[in-house]
Amino acid sequence: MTSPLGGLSILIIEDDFYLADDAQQALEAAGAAVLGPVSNADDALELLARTRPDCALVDVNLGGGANFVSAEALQRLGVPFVFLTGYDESIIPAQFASIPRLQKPAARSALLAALAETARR
Amino acid sequence: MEGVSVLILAPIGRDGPAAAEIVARTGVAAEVCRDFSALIDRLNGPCLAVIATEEGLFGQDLDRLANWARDQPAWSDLPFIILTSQIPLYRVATWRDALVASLGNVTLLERPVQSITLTSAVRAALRARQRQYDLRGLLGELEHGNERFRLIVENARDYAIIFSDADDLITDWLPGAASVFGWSPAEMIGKPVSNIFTPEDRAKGIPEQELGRAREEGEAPNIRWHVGKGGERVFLDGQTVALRNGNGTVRGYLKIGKDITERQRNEERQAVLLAELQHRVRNVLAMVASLVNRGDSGGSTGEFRERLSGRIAAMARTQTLLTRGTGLGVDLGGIIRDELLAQAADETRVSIVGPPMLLTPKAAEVLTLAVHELATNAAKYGAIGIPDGEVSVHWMRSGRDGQDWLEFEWKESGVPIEPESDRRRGFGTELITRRVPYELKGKGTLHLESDGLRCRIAFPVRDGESVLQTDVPAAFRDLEGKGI
Repeated sequence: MTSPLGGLSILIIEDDFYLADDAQQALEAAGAAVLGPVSNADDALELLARTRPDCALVDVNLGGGANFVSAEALQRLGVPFVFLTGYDESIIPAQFASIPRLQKPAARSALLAALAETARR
Repeated sequence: MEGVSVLILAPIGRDGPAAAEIVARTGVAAEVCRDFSALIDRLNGPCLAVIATEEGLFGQDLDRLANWARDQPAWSDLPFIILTSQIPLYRVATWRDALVASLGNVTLLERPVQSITLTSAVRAALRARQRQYDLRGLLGELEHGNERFRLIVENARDYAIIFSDADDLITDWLPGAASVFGWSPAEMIGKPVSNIFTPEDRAKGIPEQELGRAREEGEAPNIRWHVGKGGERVFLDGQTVALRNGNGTVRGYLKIGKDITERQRNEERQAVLLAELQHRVRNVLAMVASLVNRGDSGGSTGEFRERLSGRIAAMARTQTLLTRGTGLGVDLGGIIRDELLAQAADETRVSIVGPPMLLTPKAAEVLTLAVHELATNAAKYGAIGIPDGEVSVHWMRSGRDGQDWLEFEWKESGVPIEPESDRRRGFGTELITRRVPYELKGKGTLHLESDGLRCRIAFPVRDGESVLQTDVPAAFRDLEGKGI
């Protein structure tokens, strides 16, 4: 069993419980320590005020529609992250042009590869 | 020029008939006027030129003639040919100067006049007059064209048309602009055109960039949101054109644009709906994929398939309710009845009590699935499946920490419980005890009591938001907040 994310702490921001839980299991199986998961931007900001993850997985929809509050906070803090989105790519603002993105539903292998690459950049 | 003649005023001697003869030879009609008053009256009709002798004018009220000459229309400058008289020069010099000055287009011929001299003067006058009539025709056409242009421009109420000077200060604010933006001409003339741009565009220097491009390329597209008098947003699709002087310098600008606010809003709304549809479809598929991989894998494949399709059907029922109408929310009592109905529960052993509640899409989704799990479980192991079992479902609103909460309880009774029975921590348990706190910020508990299962779910309620309101992408909601 390889551990592509071994030793990394990864924050999961995802409003859907099942998808968050799936991601958590996948990441932990790959050796990561999961922060959260949190279901909304407020919880994400609170968590980020206390601890700094190595990288993050950010769902674009957080209940109230496309919301980039958490993404902006991560960018400010210099925490690398990956977008997971059910929306068309065009909805992602230009300031996040360089952020890798995965379309839902994402294959587990694609998710792990994107996080591993982003965290080690 | 039919019916139009040269007027002749020569009351004394042979000069009148002689002049008339010369005029007739040039091919136009001559009309001899009896005296000065007759000439003045006749000037009110069309005429080609006036030939007059000084003795016919001397001593008359020349102001009448001067006033007439001054009040001619812009195109007209009637030629006068004046034949001098033998009046002694010292008496006539000042008078003659005043006469020549007041009539404007005057040729003075000293008598005796050679026939060829008068003929050439008459021909020159006729040519000049003909040109004036031609000009009158052209002016008329121009005026007619102008009138049509004005009617079009003033009645094109969906088109904002604005002229400005070289500094882009408004010089003409046409009725279309007034109707599109709400400001009257008096409010806008003299103001910078940039007033109609949004504050964001002004901060980015868009008005200046647009003028720069119009200067360089002749015109610049102007397709963007603007702002009207009441702060409302107006979408214009049009352009800004640089207007130039003969020497090429910019003398001003014309901005013309069609108001397509309504169409633009519809397009943006359609884009929102499309994005939302995409998002929902993907999310539902991701959720289904997740459902397949989780939950109780015990039992036969047939049982697993049955459980899975039951859950998918419950999700589908919520979707149907959610998309039935926007802003309606979902009726909790209806959800519960539907799920019990799906398990063929005996209605006499079921009680459902609670006030009408409208739920947000997320809450409706979670609760529907929770009730579905409770009902299938009750049908298989609990109160619905045994003859004496009863199910009581009730809910209420309550205040907790200043917030409105929904308190929901599902209580089964009449179910004999084996002391050693141990509930598996399956899909339903996870849903109630973990998904409720995670997604609804609430609490969910399940307890096996002496006569059956008790489940409590509580979470803060937000007033029923429509399926669209909750999920309109933030970027678009920001636009709406600005009054677009």
